[in-house]
Amino acid sequence: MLHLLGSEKQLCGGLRRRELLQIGGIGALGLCQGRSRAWGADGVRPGIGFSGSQAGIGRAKACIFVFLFGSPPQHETFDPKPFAPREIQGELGAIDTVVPGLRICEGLPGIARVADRLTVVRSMTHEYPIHCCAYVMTGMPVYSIPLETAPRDPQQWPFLGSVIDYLDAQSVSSSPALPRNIGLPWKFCSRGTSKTQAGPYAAFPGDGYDPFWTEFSGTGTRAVPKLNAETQTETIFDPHAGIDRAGRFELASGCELPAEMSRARFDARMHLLRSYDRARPYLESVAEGGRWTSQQERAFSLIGSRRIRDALDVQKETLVVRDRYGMTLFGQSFPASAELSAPSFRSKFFSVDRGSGRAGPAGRDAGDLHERARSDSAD
Amino acid sequence: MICTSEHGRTPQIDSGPAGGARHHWSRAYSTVFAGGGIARGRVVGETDAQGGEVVDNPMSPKDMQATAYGLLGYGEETTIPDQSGRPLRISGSGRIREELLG
Repeated sequence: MLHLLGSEKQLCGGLRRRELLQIGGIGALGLCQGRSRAWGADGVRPGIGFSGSQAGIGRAKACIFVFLFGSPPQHETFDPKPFAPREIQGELGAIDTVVPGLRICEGLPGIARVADRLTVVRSMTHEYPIHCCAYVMTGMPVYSIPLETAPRDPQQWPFLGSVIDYLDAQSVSSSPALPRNIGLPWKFCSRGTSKTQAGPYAAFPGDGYDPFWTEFSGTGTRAVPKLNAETQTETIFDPHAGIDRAGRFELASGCELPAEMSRARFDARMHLLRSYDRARPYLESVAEGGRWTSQQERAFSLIGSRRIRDALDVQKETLVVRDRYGMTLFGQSFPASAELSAPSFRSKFFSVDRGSGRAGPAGRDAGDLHERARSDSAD
Repeated sequence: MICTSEHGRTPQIDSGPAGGARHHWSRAYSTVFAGGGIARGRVVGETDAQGGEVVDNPMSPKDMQATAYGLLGYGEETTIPDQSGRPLRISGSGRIREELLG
């Protein structure tokens, strides 16, 4: 039963009673049903396409979104200030790039050599000096600290990859055989000690548009100090500092067939499942039923797919190329991402995050630089 | 490709007993773009002598998103419905920034 008064319960659309009342009127009673219709084939299509002068700028087939969670300093990356006082410029100097006049931090010599292919923006700015991942990767207008650890809060907006996944889904009739929205190396903030962070989630289009996360299997090869406030008594082997060459990205564990399950047996079970589904036509009639079915289809297609496994398999890349990217968790994410964004691949979006391998109060993340930088960033 | 983060770091290094550190700072930070219609070999925007304040061409993370969406084929007026069916612009207040385009 739907209580309009006296209940804090959330409704299926993530609305609270107050919001429902604000919308008001008998029309609100149709909200749940209306929402599920909106995502269906007969629902209202969002406005897609360009307006006026921007027509025709669509030139990207895919987007690799490299998110350096933890925030590196601009000084030690793309905006060095070699003429500033020492306590501002830090210990790392600036180097020339192949673009005349463009100097970047000396810690990035490889990027300096390819700077002629990049656009560097030094004027990014917003008003929230907190780890507001969700704010910078979604359209949400305002942010607050409690939202940082509340990825499913109704105030959250969908992140870039989920928006693309959703919009693309409106223009094709069947769900893709392979996910369009993939996150490496593992579910955002799922390892390490920091709390779950809001950010790369689908929000209101529904969690069926969340990124499809890979998992990393491999071991760290370099001991790095765990920077405690007092003394450095502990070392950890952080895969961000180095991994052995056998390290690989895999589908999340639920997508792997157990060893004792042959393909033939799996197919037989699928056949059985389909016969059950045919006997349950009401499934499609209940809210969310369609979503369940499409997610189920997607999950099963992944189980049978060699293609995504091959794309993720960095072992297929030559060692020369892999070494050039760096034998670290972060470095090895790139050959995999490049493969997934190849024109023949339908996938459109990847997120490469720092991996949340944070070791402690000041563990390694994108806010920290390598050992030379005594100007390590604060937590 | 977009390489970005959630904020930048203070210009002044704070030297504590455990070592120096830069603190959270969102008034100025850098982001790098490449490929898919992005300009090549270009620098956009400028910070002051300390790298703390934007003095030219401020860009919001919403603009970054709008430009990415535009290049992927979804213009800045594209909307998606929220829980109540209200159409929301996918990048919020973001605008496609021509200075990023090749």
